[in-house]
Amino acid sequence: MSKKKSKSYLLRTIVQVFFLMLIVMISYNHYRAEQGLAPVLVGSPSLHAICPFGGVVTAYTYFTQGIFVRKIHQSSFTLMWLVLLLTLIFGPVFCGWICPFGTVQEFVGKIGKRMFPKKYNRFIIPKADQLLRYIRYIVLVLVIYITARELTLVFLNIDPYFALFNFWSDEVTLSALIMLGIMLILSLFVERPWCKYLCPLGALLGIFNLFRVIPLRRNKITCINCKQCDRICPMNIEISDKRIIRNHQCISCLLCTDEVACPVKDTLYFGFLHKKLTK
Amino acid sequence: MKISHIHILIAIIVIIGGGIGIASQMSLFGTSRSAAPMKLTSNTYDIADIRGSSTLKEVETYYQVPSEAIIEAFNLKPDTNPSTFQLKDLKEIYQTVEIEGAEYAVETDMVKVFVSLFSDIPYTSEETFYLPETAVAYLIREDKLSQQEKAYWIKHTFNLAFLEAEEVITEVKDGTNDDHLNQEEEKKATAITGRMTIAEIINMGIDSEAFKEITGLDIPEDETISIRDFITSRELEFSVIKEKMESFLSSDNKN
Repeated sequence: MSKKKSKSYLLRTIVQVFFLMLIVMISYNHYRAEQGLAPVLVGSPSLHAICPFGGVVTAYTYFTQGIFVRKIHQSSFTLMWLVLLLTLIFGPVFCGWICPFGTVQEFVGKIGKRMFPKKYNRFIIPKADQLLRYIRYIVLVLVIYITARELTLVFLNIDPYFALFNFWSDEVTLSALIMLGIMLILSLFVERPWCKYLCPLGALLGIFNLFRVIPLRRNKITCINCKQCDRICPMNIEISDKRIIRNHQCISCLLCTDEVACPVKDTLYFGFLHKKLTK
Repeated sequence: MKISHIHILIAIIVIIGGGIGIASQMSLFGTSRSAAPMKLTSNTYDIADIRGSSTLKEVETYYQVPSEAIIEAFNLKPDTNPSTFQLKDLKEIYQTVEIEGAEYAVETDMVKVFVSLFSDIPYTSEETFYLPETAVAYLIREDKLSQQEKAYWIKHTFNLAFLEAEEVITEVKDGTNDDHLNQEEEKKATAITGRMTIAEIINMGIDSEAFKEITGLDIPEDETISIRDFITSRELEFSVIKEKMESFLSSDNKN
């Protein structure tokens, strides 16, 4: 990887680590607050307050009854709108750059890549894998429906993100801890398994890939069909045979682009208002 | 135009960071618990959703029960601040009472029953069958009880007893009484209640260094403020701080 490309890769990693550390500090401060101690460096809101998915699950009750579901805060509702705006323009940047659980899965995945250098992220048969990718939409619909009906955060029962950053809390359920364990183990074999198969927020944001303002574009003329983009994509998207890639699984990580993997300049990139290609 | 990693970073800073900043200025980024309880009907809120962390002010806002009513009914100090006094603080003020073999703590559920009777919003309690005498007297005076309710509650009252007024047991028992008496005296000397002022806490033996170590905060200039009001205004748990202070005082006494 050239110096410029490694800088691009490093920048994303820095941003991911920043948000991961931020959530760790906030969780630690929330624990301190529960012990009657003052917070350190950053505030001590609950994780519910800073998770945009909280806004998603409460949207129905907000618009029909004017209230938030218990434990959901105004901040998570606002964050939801901000993340949706970011996603509309740039795609699921939240997934690829911000979500701490996505970052943790990636870090565990690096161990998996060393353990299984050839097979990593290729264990599941492609046809079965493609079908399994739609489970997260079922999860999304079920979570929204049941939350609206029961007016409680049912998703907490399987949320591995909450379990990871609140594992000391009484609020974390055994089922969520089990889900967390499963996802971390699966991350050794599959990249971002939670994101691919089960994450309801990822499902919602993934839909925006179909009409995002800035899609992924591939220049057929300059492309040399090296398949580097297909190999590096954490979400196993077939990029090399399309001109405009609007796959619902894209997480806007930019790993496939000529910023990182693609060896030919101006061949694979996120762009808009581009010039019409001529041979 | 190509989008690079730098553009994505800028987008995150502007949209997420900038958005949070603007939302905070517009009071659209509250990260504390939503005070709004669940609705029972379009016009009334569910009493079951009153929480220990609910303040008197919140109860007044959502259930139209004046703070003064609860202050009087539960014999709280007249200068109790409705905006900061939380229902769970009642446990720090009153003793647990034993009635017919069951222990009753003066806590949130009693207030829920009181609010239900006052506002005529239905609520079925599974733990409160007795109310403070002052609360029942208030409800009767304000004509909030039906004949049936009056007949029941008049026979199901108890007297509120402050924790500060806890009596020392004096009967002799097997020569262990001296130790027991000493323990009770020590317990009384180190017992902290929410009504105590900062000045009283200092007089008990908690100096500025100990105060900072326990709470993470400096002693305020106004030492006449109650310890509970001060702690809760800083969004700390009073019960946790109280325990630490009492532990400090009792270890200090032993030295």
